[in-house]
Amino acid sequence: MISSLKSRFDKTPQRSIFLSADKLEIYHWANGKLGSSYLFDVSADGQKYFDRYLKETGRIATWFLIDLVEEEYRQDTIPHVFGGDRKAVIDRKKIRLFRETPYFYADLQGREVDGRKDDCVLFMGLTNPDLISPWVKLLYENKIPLAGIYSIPQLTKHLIKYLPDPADHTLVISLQSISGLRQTFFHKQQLKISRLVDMPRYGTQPYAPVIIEEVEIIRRYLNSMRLIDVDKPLHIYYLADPKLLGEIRKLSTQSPSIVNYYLDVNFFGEQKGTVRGITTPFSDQLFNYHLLKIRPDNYYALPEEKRYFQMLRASRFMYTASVCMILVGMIWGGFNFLNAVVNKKQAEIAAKKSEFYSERYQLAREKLPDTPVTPAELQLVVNIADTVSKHKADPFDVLKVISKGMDQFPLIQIDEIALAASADPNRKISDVDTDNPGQGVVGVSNIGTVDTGYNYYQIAAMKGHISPFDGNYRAALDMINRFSETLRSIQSVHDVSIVTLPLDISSSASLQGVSNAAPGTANFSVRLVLGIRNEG
Amino acid sequence: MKAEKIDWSVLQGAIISIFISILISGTLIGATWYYNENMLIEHNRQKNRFQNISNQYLAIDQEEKLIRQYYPEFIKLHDKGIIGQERRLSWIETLRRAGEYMKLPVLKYGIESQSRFVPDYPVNAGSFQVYSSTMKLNIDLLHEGDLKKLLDTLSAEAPGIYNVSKCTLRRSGEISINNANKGNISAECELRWLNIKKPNGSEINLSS
Repeated sequence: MISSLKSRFDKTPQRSIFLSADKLEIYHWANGKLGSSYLFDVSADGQKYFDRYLKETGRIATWFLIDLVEEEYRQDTIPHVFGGDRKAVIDRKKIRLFRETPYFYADLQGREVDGRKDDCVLFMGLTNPDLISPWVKLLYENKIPLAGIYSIPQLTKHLIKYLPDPADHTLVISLQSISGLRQTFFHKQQLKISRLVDMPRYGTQPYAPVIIEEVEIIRRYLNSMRLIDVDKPLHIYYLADPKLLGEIRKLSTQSPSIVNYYLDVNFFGEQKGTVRGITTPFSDQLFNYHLLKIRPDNYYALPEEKRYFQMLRASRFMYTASVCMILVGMIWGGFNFLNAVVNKKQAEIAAKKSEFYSERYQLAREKLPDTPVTPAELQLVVNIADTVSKHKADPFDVLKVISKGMDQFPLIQIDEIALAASADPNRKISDVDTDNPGQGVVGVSNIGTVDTGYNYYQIAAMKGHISPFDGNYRAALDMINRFSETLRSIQSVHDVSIVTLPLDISSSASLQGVSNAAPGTANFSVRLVLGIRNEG
Repeated sequence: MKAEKIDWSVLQGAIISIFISILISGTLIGATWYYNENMLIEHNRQKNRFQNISNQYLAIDQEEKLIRQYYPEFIKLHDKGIIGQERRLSWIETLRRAGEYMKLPVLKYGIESQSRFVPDYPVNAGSFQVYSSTMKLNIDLLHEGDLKKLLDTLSAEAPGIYNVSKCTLRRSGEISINNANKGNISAECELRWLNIKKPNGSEINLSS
C-alpha cells in the first residue's frame, strides 16, 4: 500500500536539497526521474538567491540531504524499556551527548547479548546546527513543505541491501562533488561510523591515491576500535566512475581480510532505474535520486520544521477525498439516475396498459347501469337486509302457546304479559325475570344457546293468579305445576320456568298465617321461551 | 497537529475543494435520489392503477351478474327506506289509518332519534353499519288480537323492516264488551326500524 502510494506520488513535483559545508545543490523531480538542478554557495548571497528561488518555484515537497563533517556518531546502550520511558532515557542521553543541537537521532540497533541485554543505540547529531538552520528557516518562511532532513550515511544505510555479497563488515566509499569523500562503515547492516574527508578540486590531482590512503586510515581506526572481528573480512565497496575505479583497483592491496568491490556509480541507477546517466565519479545524483525515490522517514527535521509538510499531506488527502467523493457521487448518482430511468420507463408502460384496459373497462361499464355503490357492495347491502329480515321477530306466536295452555286451566287468569323476541333466550324482559326465584321451587332457567337450531326466541314473562282461590295452596301449586308442564309439552317450547309461586314453602323462607282466615290470593309468575325457526 | 499551528492559507484550497466536492456529490446523490424516488412512486402508482383496472376489467362479467341479481332488490330496499332516508311519515300515516280502522281507544306513538344498532345475532355488514330508530307505542286494546293486527298492518303497509323489541300487555280491570271507547288491555311496545348506512354514518342514496 505504502509503496503503491509512493509510486503514485513519483509523478508529483518534488525536490531534494543537498547541503555541504560550501555548496547547496537542488535537484528537481518530475515524472519519476531527476530533472533540472541548481547550485548555490553557502553564503549570504547564496541564501538570498536561494530565497528568491524558493519564491519562484512555489511550495514543492522538499527532502533535505546533508553531508557535513559536523555529524557525530556515538555508540551507547540504554535499558531495555518502552514507550515514554524509552523516550525519557533517550532525551537524557541527547542532553548529555548533543546538548548544543536540536538535530539529533537515535537509531536502535538490537540488544546486547550479555549482561542486562540493554538496547544498543547509535546516537547521531549535527553538532553545528548553524550550518543547516538558516536554510531550513528560509524553507519555513516560504512555507515550503519539508519532509525530512537526512545525511549521506543515513541514506547509505537504505542502499546497502543492493550491494553484492552482503557481509558483516561493510565499508562504503563514495565521492560527493560538493562535500568530498564519504566513508561509511556498517556492522551487520547497521550504521556504526562514518567519516567525511575533504577532497581536492576534481581534476587538479589524482583521486585514487588519496582515496586509498583515507581508506587505509579508517581501516586502521576500525581495527583499533575493535569494530571488526579478526576472523571476518571487511568488504569495501568503491562507488565511482569506471575510470577512477580502474585507478583505485591498481593501487589497492589485496589481503584475506579485505575484499574490494569496484562498483560503477551507475550500478544503483541500473538497479533502481535511474534514467539519467552519471558520467562523473561523484554520487550526488545517485543519493539524491534514491532519496526522492524511496523517501525514507525523517531523521533530523524538527516537528515544527515539518509543519508545512504535514499540512501538504493533509491537503493532498483532502484533494484525494474530494475526488473520491465526486466519484462516489457520480457513481451513486448515476446508479440512482439509471434506476429512475428504468422506473420511469416502467411507469410509462404501466400507464399505457392502464389506459388500454381503462378504455375497455369504460366501454364494458357503459353497458351496465350506474349504481350508487359497487356491485359487490350491492350484494353486501342486500345480504344485510336479508339477514335482518330473517331475524325480524314478533313475539305473538308465544301468545298462541299461552292461550293453548290456558284452555285446559280455566281458573288461571293472566294479569300481565311482557313479550320480546331475541336471539338470546336468556334476555331479561320484565321484572318477572328479576323477581327473587327463592319464592318458587324452580326459578329462572339458564338456557343454553348452542346448537338449538332456532333462529331466534320469543320470550314471554307473565304474571297471573288463580281465581277463584279457595285457600288450598297445595291444589294451587299443583295446578301451576301442571300448567307449566302443559306449556312445556307444546312443540317448539324451548323452556318454561316458574319464577314465583303463591306460597314460598322453601326452607330458607319464613312462613306464617291464620288457619281460619279468609282465603288470600294465589299469584304466580312464569317465564316461557319459544324457539322459532325461519323457513327457507 | 494543534489547530493554532495550522496555516489555513495553505489548506484553503483543499478545504474549499472538499466543501465543493461534498456539495457536488451531495447534490448529485440527493437530486438523483429524489428523482428516482419520484419515479418509483409514479411507477408503483401506475402499477397499482394497472392492477386495479385490469382486475376490474376481468371482474366486469361478475359485476354485471351481481348488478343484474342484486340491483333490483337494492332499489326495493331504497324504496322501503331500509337504505337511504327512512320513511317516518309513512309509518305515522299507517299507524293512524290502522288505529282509525281498528277503532283503538288510545294509540300513542313516539319515535326516537336514530342510533347505532348492534344486533344480538351475527350480521356480516362489511364496512356498512346498521342503524335503528326506536318507535314506542302506547295502546289501549279491546283484546290482544288487536295488537297483532296493528303490527301486521304496519308490516304490510309501512315501508321498512322493524323488530318488536319488547311488548308488555296488562289487564286494565273488569272486561267491558259493550264500551268501544274503553280498552281492556293496555299495551306498551318498542319497535326498532332498521336502516343500513355507509361506514361514516351517511345515507346510501341512489343518486350518489
